[in-house]
Amino acid sequence: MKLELKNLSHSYDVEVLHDLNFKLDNYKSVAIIGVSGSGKSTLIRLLSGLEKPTTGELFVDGYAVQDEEYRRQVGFVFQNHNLFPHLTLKRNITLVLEKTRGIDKIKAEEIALKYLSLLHLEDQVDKIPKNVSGGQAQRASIARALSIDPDVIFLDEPTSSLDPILTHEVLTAIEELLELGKQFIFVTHVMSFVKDFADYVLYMDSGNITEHGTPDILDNPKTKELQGFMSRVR
Amino acid sequence: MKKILLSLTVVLFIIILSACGKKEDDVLRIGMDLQYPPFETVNGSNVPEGISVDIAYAFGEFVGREVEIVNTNFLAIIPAIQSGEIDIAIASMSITAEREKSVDFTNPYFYFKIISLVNDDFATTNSLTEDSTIEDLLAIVGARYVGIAAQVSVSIPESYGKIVSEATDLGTAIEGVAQGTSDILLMSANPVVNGYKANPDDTIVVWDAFVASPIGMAVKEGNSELLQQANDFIATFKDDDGLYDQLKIDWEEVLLENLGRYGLDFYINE
Amino acid sequence: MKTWVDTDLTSILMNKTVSYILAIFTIVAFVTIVILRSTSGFSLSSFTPYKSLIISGFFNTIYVSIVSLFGSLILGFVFYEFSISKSKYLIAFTDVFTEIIYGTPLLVLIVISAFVIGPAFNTYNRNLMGIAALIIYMTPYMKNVYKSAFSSITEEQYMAMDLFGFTPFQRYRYIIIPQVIRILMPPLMNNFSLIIKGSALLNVLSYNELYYAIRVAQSKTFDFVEGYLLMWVIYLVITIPLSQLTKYIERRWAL
Repeated sequence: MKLELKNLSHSYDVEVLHDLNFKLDNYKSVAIIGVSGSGKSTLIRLLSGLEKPTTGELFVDGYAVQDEEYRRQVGFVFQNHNLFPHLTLKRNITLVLEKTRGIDKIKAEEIALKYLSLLHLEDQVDKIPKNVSGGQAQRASIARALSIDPDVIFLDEPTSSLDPILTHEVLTAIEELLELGKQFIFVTHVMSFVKDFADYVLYMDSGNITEHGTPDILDNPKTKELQGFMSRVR
Repeated sequence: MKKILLSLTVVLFIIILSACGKKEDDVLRIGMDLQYPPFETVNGSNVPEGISVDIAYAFGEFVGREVEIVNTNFLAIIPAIQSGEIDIAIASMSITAEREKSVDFTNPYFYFKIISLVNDDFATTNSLTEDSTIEDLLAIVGARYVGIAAQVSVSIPESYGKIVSEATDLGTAIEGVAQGTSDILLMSANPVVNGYKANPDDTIVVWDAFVASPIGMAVKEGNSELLQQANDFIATFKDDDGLYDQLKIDWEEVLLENLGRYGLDFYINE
Repeated sequence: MKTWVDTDLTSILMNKTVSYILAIFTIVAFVTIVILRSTSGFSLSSFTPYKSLIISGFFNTIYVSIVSLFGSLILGFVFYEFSISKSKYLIAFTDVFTEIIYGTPLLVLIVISAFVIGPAFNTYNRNLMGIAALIIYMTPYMKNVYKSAFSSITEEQYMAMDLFGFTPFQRYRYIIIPQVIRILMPPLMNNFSLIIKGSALLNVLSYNELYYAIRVAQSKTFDFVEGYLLMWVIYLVITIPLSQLTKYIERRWAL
């Protein structure tokens, strides 16, 4: 994918991203890491078009991120699964497919079951989120994101709210998806996952992209910020 | 969506306020409280019936206007006259000086003898019987009187210096006497007798009347035209085949059965 | 050592159905004792001539309650919108209004509406004003119900709705309203029950609802014991099935 950030700044009450300019090409799986408050969640939200930047522009694969066409090609997995609590896992997917993508009932069910199986949820399809484990709900959320057949899938700390066992379960499921040939941009704390899954890494610190490169920068950090970060992450 | 609901509410409000605008000027709105049989009551289908109802319709005929009976809580009748909600009240309402301050009364057309319902044990203790006199009653020290708020039932004992506890409705007052929380209730004959019949073991009737309370129709102060018409109407009651005679035909039996002793004359004569 | 008698007796008494039967029996026994002590001949015969009046009263109670329910549902929603609006005035108005209504007994509100406010605006339709009073009385309670129901839709769900591009209609139809209704239902039913019980106060307007009907039927014979018990039973006939329905809905729809 191609990523481009132009004079990008973003503020809530304070400025969290400071005039970012950045270009990237030809990578399929990009990880964004950094401490809490570094701006990584903000950046991924802006990249997915979920929020509008205060100033500046973002481009993914040539699309401006606010472009309607782009936004329909985007899948997003939130930290909390964000499934609709009153619907079954299957219905969470078919509702999206039928109503927002205009797919007919039978096809929608087919697609839903396909992705739910892919994420090993065949036995949970008719349960509501409350009645499945956190890991299963998160996997269902991933299935839902995949079901709309996106070009790029964004994951914002998908395992932060899960215990280590469930974390492993979800990350393993995501790794299996590499074969689907999708593109990923994700924020995570789990360094082992970054090493296994990413082919490019952005390290953020205080609203800036302090260092970036292929995953071996994690073992050989150049900047002192990243060095400090990696030493604490052991 | 919010805007739709907001405008819906406003529209609703306007409809409500306009749906209840002015009443037709021609209809004569006559107020009474339909909870006092046999004068003012309803039949099983909630249609007004009673002696006052008959008088009301006869009055309508007399003045050539359509009559609407407006069922109004007794306490709300005078306010309803003052606000114009009803034109005239034919509600077996006693003419009192207090009320004269708020409404204009016609000449009396009935006289309701105010008699007493007395608690049985109290009567026994004080050697009271059906034929005891009011002096006998008044002589008893510490007798507990109960009456209906805003009625002569309260004001009469008070005029003798008695303390009266006030009930808001007839039923409560009668229950009080039957249960012994009160000793004496002054009311017009019918309710007293009904109260006795409902509690024959716990109460007795003392027939000596405290006063024959004059009953008049009430109109808004200053409504001299309607007042004159009503008085003219009342003047015809004594005629041969006048209203008294007609009412006797319809109600004599009922009244006799009710009171056990007297018929319509009990109410006509002072 | 437990004998088989002890075990069986205990398990019988522990049985839920038996417990309920015993509980109901206790109440019925109490009521029977009250009847026997109050009156020598319990008879509903004085009420038979007024049968149709009482039946009208019964239906009027239900009618008035349903109208008031819908009225307060709408007005409650309006005030809910006021309370979350950006206008400081509307928020303040809602607050002041709520405080006043909470502090006013329903009976007082009814008589003021019918005898004071109505005539001030040339409205003599007492029954209408009575229903209006009932609606206004319940409005703050409904507003609160909406508040808790709508606030249960989390920010995260809105994010998901944004993400997939649901239209406003779709959001309400498939996501917001189904959830909100589940939460609304139980307190709404409770409010309905309150309305039914409060409707008895409309009798002071001489409106022929159930309480009034029985009072009129009593006006000749003063059969209080029979009258009030009859009234009580009929109200229970309305409110108990309603509360059972509420419990059923809560169970079925609970999230």
